[in-house]
Amino acid sequence: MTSRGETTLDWFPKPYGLGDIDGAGLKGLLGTPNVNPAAVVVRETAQNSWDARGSAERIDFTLNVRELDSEAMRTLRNRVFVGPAPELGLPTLWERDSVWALEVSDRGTTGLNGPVRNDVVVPKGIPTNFVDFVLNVGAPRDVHLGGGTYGFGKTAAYRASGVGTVLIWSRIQGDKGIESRLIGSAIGSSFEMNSKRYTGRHWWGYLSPDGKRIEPVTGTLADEMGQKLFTAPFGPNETGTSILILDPVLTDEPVEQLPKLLISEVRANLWPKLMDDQSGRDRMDIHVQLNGVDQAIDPIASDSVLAAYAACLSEIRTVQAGGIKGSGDFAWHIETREVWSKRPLKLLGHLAMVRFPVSPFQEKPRSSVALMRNEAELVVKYLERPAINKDTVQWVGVFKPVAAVDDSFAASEPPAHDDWVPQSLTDRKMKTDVNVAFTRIKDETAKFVRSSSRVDSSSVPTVSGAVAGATLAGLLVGIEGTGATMPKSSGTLSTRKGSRGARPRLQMAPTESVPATEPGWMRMGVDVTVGGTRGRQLVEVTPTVGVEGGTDRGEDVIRILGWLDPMEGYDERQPHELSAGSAHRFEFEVREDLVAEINAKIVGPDA
Amino acid sequence: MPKLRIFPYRRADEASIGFGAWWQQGLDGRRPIETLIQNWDYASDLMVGLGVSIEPSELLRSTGQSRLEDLAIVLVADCPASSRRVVTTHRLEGVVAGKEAQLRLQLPAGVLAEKIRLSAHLIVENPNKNADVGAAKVKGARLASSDPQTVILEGTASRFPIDSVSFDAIGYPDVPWILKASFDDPRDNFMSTVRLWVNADNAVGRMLLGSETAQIVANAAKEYVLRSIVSVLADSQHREFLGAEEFEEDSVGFVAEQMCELYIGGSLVTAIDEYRSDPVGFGTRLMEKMDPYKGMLQ
Repeated sequence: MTSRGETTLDWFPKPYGLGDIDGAGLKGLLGTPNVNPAAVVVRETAQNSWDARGSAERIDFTLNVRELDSEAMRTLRNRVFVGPAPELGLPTLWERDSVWALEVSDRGTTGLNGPVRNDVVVPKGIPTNFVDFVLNVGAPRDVHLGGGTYGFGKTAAYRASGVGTVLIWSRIQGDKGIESRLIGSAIGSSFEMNSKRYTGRHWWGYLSPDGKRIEPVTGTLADEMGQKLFTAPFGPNETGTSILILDPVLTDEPVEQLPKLLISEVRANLWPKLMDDQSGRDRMDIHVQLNGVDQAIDPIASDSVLAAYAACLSEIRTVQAGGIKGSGDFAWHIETREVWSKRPLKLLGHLAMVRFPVSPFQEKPRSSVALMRNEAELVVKYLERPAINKDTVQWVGVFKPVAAVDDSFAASEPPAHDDWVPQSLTDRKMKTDVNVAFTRIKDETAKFVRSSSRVDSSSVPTVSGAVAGATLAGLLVGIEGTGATMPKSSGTLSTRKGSRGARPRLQMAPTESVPATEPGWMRMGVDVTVGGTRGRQLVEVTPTVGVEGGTDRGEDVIRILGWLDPMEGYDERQPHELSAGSAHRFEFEVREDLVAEINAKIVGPDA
Repeated sequence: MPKLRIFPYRRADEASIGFGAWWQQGLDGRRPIETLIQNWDYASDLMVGLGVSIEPSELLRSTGQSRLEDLAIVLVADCPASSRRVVTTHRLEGVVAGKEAQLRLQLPAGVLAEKIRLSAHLIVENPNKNADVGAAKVKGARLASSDPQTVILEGTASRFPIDSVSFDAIGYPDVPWILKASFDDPRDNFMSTVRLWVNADNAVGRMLLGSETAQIVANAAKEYVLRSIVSVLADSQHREFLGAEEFEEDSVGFVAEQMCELYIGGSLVTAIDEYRSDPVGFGTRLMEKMDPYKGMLQ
């Protein structure tokens, strides 16, 4: 369609047909995930991108929270999301002064390839990513060892939008080369229009001549609009997908804070992809942006809990690749167990666990096992287990099935991929795999926690008998014991001497330290003042370097410059006569990594 | 003689970190440590600690460090008498501005003596090249320190020999306490040969171990100890020593004699004779004199 000389998309609302459900029902059809909306978006979009990586060894995955500029707003309003589209709230959105979007993009993936119609038979082996993602609901996983199983990511994106609306721009490798596709999609409430009922599903694209189908716009038009509306470009031969989620509603905080929340969810859910060591594995480079500017994602090593999870996963990767247990360089010992099914006898996976010191500043120590699938390595859930009975130690673990039984765990996942539910499986063998794995994980973690608790108790009693000893002391009728008492000689520990009255006092104040001439050294000084206003005193200053258990005065660590006279320079002679009431500067040089300790004393008759 | 320390790097402003008072953990909760460590038997580990509050942005600004994760707080107990240093390190993760976290230091059993000096230090744990100019870049550099506190561990206060023990762990019955007597004859040293094992798993045993509850069961424990000692000494092998000689102070015989005179108003020999001839009557008299259930009624 063309309007004012510009090509616009066609609006296609889905009329009710046999078996259709309304949009609200569609959103609820796949259940309510157990995790928060931001976590769902991060998990599901990342999972879809991972599954679409094809043969790529590395993909980029970017979450960009951005404010739409006026050009983008105009294009979206006048050329993309055209038509009345009732019940979505788009007209209200366009009236806002500021509209934000979450742009989720992956590059290096296959893009949404395959046919663009879902009413024709697709030969086996031909991908159906486009129709599965854009047109179908609940499509089964078609990637062996892939993470996504139900296409829940679709509704996750709609749920994340305040107007239930997304725009999709994808580039794929087609039969005739690189092909671009662009289509808008929304899920809202059902509505009536011109005496006809509609489900609340909407698409914007190219309407078939018979008006019964919608397809994406392609080619130059798709790229022209995509370049106007998305910030993540495509390279000349680059494939992938970008999704623009309009008006993201993932937090009660101002939208500018959303990147912080997304980073938190990326770290909690995608930490396996953030690990430095991805050798031999496909990589996912993750970026979180605010208006196109990368926001820092702290490395895993900066968080002791994530570092411990990562160390466990590294250990499992090593073991499952036929390597040697315990060959990692994590500071704490990792215990790895094989998880077997006895009937039939088969290896189900590996469980690695590690205990490590807890930070007293953390709100809640962790004691859980991260469950993840074999190849996807995206956290399905954290299985909470008992804590070690000592508040200075915590533990975590990772369980990963072996590839041979990964399908059993995949099949047990609910649409949000946030659990393994063996009860949902009808295949008896698969159900056994998951059930047995859970039982073994619980048994092994219980043993681990018990043994960890014993390590700390050893043979030392945990409770002092001193109160009981003091309570029963009367039975001893005056025999001395070992209970703490004040020393008899004095009432306090202090050996502070009394004032000596008129003795002059010295005061010292440090001056600003500056780099010395020789690299690696600092020049320091003290201003020494003799108390009172009259008279002169002989003063000796002794700078030393503090070392464990004492001091050092060697020239390799400290060099005396002397008393500084603004006119005459340094005077090294000690003691030095100082007039009372005014500050005299003494300077020295110290190795830049050492602490200087300065003693000053009055020598002579008043000492 | 005035002393001054000059650090070759930026230190933490006072407003950026606060060290609270030291406390010790007891069965009944935490109590502040003043000059003495209270109720430590040296046979068990003792948990001490202090509260620390941090203003993250102010701390990073004043020290020039770039990340809290690179810093740590070290708690130190120095014991000059035994030349031992006990140290624990707490990483700064999950710090919430202004919220006080309790940091712990476990003093091990049997290695510290006389007194200890407690101190806490904020240090550089992982030197960071991205730290500001003048920031500490050496591992272990102290960015802030608490005022050190010296506390007395032991002295000469009278204390009945007690071991708190998990009876469950060693296969003993679930009773509150058991007297362990290993003397060969009543002339042996009491403190070396007699101990009361208190069951840390048993509710009544734990009452005797707790400072808030010990008095409730004190008389019951005393009555049990006296009755047990009399019953052990009533064994025929000890007869030749009883009444025949003066026991040295600190000996089993001396302590047992003093107990009998103080608590049941008679000599040890009389108590043993009564125990042998009329054990029920002896038990009744003990109950009458020592009132073992008195604390439970108060």
